[in-house]
Amino acid sequence: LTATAVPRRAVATADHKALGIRTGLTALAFFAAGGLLAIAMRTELAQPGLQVVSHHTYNELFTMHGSTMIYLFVTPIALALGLYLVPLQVGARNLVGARWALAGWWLLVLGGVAMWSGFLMQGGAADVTWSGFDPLSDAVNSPGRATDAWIHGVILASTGELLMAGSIMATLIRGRAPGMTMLRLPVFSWTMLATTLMVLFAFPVLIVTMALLWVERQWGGVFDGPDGPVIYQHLFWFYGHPVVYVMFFPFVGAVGEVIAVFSGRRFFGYRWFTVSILLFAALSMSVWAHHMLTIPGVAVRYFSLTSTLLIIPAGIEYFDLIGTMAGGRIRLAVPMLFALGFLVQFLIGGITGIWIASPPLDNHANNSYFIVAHFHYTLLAGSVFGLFAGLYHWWPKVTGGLLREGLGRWHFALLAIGTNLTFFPQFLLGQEGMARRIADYPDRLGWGDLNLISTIGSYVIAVSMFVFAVNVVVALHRPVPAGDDPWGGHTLEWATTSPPPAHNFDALPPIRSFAPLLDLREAQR
Amino acid sequence: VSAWRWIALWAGFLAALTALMFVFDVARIAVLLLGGAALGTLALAAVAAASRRTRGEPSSSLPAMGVAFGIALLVAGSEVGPWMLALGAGLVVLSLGTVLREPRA
Repeated sequence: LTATAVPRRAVATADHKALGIRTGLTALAFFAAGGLLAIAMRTELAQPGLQVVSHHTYNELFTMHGSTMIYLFVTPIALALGLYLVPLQVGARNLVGARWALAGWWLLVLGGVAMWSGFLMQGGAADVTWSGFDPLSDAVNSPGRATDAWIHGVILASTGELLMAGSIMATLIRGRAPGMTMLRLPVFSWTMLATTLMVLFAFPVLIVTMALLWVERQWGGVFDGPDGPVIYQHLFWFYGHPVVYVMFFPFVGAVGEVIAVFSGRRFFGYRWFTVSILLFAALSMSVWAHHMLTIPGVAVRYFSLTSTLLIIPAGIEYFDLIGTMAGGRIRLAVPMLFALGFLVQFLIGGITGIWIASPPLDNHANNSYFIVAHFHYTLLAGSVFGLFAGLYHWWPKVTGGLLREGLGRWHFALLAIGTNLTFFPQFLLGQEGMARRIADYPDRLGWGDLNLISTIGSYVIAVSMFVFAVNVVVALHRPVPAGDDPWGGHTLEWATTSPPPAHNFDALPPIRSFAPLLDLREAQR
Repeated sequence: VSAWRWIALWAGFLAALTALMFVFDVARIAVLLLGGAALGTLALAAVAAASRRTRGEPSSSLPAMGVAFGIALLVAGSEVGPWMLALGAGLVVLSLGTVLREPRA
């Protein structure tokens, strides 16, 4: 190593494993920051009449919480899994276009810094919601530089995510090892293909929309007409709904891998899964205006129909996951617990989503806490459980050691209790008419008890994350060697050392299906 | 089935969903957005079909990092002023040029 090689690698490595880990750590840091904002919000809402923060600060908190979680945590960590795992799963030495993924990581970091720099500006951080709806976000209603910094942050972070997704897709198209045909791609890699397709065609629209919003704030004339706000919403939600699936598919893939391995069975219904994930992704590109069902003039029948049709591919995915478990020798290790938690809790988020795809019901539930509960069941109670299933599953591959099983079970139990305590009462609050994005509510409405339960639940979630952090520290300081394949994995990443060498593989096993290591074990029997 | 055919299948799904919009009298901007995505996906399928296996890449790349900082300066320059815009544009051009000339592994 030369004197410059070490710092050069520290800031400019193009190794997919380092990029995956860095993107993951960046996302987790923003998760912690966004989580603290959520705790502050829930503390404010615990009882009526509390003034822990001012109403203006509360607006900043929910804007930055939503922005951080979506632009800086769930989307990047989903891509981080892809950056680390896709080259290993397809038998590649590195990402195709790894340097673009490197540029993407830096753009993500710089975007996050830009977004959060608003807290240092006069008047505080942006307070225009994570969607930045015009005219709320125009220069008249939201003066000051914080909103501009927020717009810049969204542009930079999303451009970074676009570059990462492009690199992952290029790897899936052109980086596969000989024998790794498309119908031999592991389930996780298929979900990454669907994810990156959505990123490639939805994220550019967001970047352009944010640039237009910036122009609107400087000079006006972009969203000025009577249709301007509706056009903004069409443009924003064309990104804003597919991104929900960008934050979902990789975790379905992770859960699919975990369930297959911990059931000791080959993934059930693989071919149906491949077609249905593409159909799922296409439908998810066509449902965006269900966020606008209450706006006059929106073609509610089309968007309600496509939103309801989502239940078909979703049903196929669930059927495949349950079918994989059927008749298997199920091991209830921590990754499997999180995978099962994902299945149950995402179902609640999904089914309530079908309810509000119905225009009459959406007219009632729109803008209420019912919606808040619904999307937190999909994103936190759902996707984050899928994320932890994946983290516990692949941790030994990344570090060579095991996370502690006991602490992992505590983490799972506390997170399951915490998420349900936090978000289930919010369905009831929405039913009773509590609007979202309010900093306070009158005592006479009787919402105090449910809000208090929800706040206590959020503290339990925070404790569960602390337990996870302790688990990570313990595992890193007192490593328990995991070996190369502690779970009996099915896919190529388990055919190399833990952690993998710089070139990933010394030799690849024969690839005759989407589960080549399972093929080997079956042949040996 | 090669990768481009799967991408083309996805373009077909998007095109079918765009066609369905005409039955329901959906706003023109919605048709343009989804139809545009369908056409873009078709173009991506064509690129995927034409692309070849790539060569190796360098294990680290300061110019790629330079591209990211250049883009950030460009974006921030829109607020700060022309001098930063010029700095950002210069850094992007210089870094992109270097990335393209960088030796491969």
